Amino acid sequence: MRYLAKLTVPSLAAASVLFAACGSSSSTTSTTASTATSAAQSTSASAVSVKTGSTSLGKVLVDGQGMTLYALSGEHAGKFICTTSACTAIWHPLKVTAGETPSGEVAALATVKRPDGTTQVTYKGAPLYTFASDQAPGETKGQGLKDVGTWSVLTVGAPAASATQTSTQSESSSGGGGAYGY
Amino acid sequence: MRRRAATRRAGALLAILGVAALAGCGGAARSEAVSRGAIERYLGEVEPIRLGVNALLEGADPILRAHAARRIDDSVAAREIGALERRFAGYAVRIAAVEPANAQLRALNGPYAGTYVLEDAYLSALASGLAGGSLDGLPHTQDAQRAAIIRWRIALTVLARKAHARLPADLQQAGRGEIAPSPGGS
Repeated sequence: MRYLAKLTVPSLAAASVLFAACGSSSSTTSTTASTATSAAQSTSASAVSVKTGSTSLGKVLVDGQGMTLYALSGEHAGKFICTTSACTAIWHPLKVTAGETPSGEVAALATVKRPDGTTQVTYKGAPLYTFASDQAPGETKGQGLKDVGTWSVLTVGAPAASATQTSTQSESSSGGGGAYGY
Repeated sequence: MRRRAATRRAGALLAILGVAALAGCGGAARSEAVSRGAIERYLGEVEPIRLGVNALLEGADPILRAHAARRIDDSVAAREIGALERRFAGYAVRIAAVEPANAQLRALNGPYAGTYVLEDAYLSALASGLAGGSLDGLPHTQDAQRAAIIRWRIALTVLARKAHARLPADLQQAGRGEIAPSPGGS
């Protein structure tokens, strides 16, 4: 985490460039224009909604503004990895106010309490984030990025395990092979 | 109860490792050059442990995935994670026992070995939590572990560069992947 902080804290813009560069190295994360197709046309008092949107990676979860949502491998069942300000400056937790429920016709939406006490929206137990380098609906520049874990878009309809594993044949920068970093 | 005992045990081991690390941080540690041979001998001891641990932790994911999918119940998952924790404890002892002759390498190894203590405590708590049906009490030590592992990798890389020693390519994975198995099995 401290490593991440050193890389990213000085400048979010620089970090975004870095991440964008990382993203471009993966073969299939280029973006296409898309329209966030609301699955939540139904009204809701909630200020936070989760919809589906079309991207080059297929139909994925997006927030109310159509921005692609991501999940981080290893974050599940109340376990958080992206907790430092350095991380959340780039990966923005999709939050609701305490007691609020996210709206949307996407099944399996819920909330979880973050270590800092705020409440974050989850999909099948995975906390949801937007990525700072995504500038427009349909962009998926965060797909496959590895820093404190692997970030993945959430393909609609996929089971929980594979929903956070939408592969792009990217990364593998270390030659380590395995998932664990000892 | 088991979790508290594991935490106490982890605390005691960390204190010992901390003292060992501080002892290795004396003036001699700064002035003594590290030879290429010393680095390679150190890596020769550490790499089988490090790679073994990564492979062992990979084995936790199928257990946790099966548990999350309710293919195995709490008691089976707890038993299997408990068995994995005991094997991990063996690695924690092995890494703590590594004692390079060079003071700089000793100073490096102490904090790195400390991350194994934290991981062992996490696995122990995970096994207890699975058995008790609640994972609310899992320790949040991953940030500290990751930072320590990265400091170790970077310091080792600096020493190796000075000594013209080659490091295994896989070493660059240290601190970058997952640190602890997630209860969700992801």
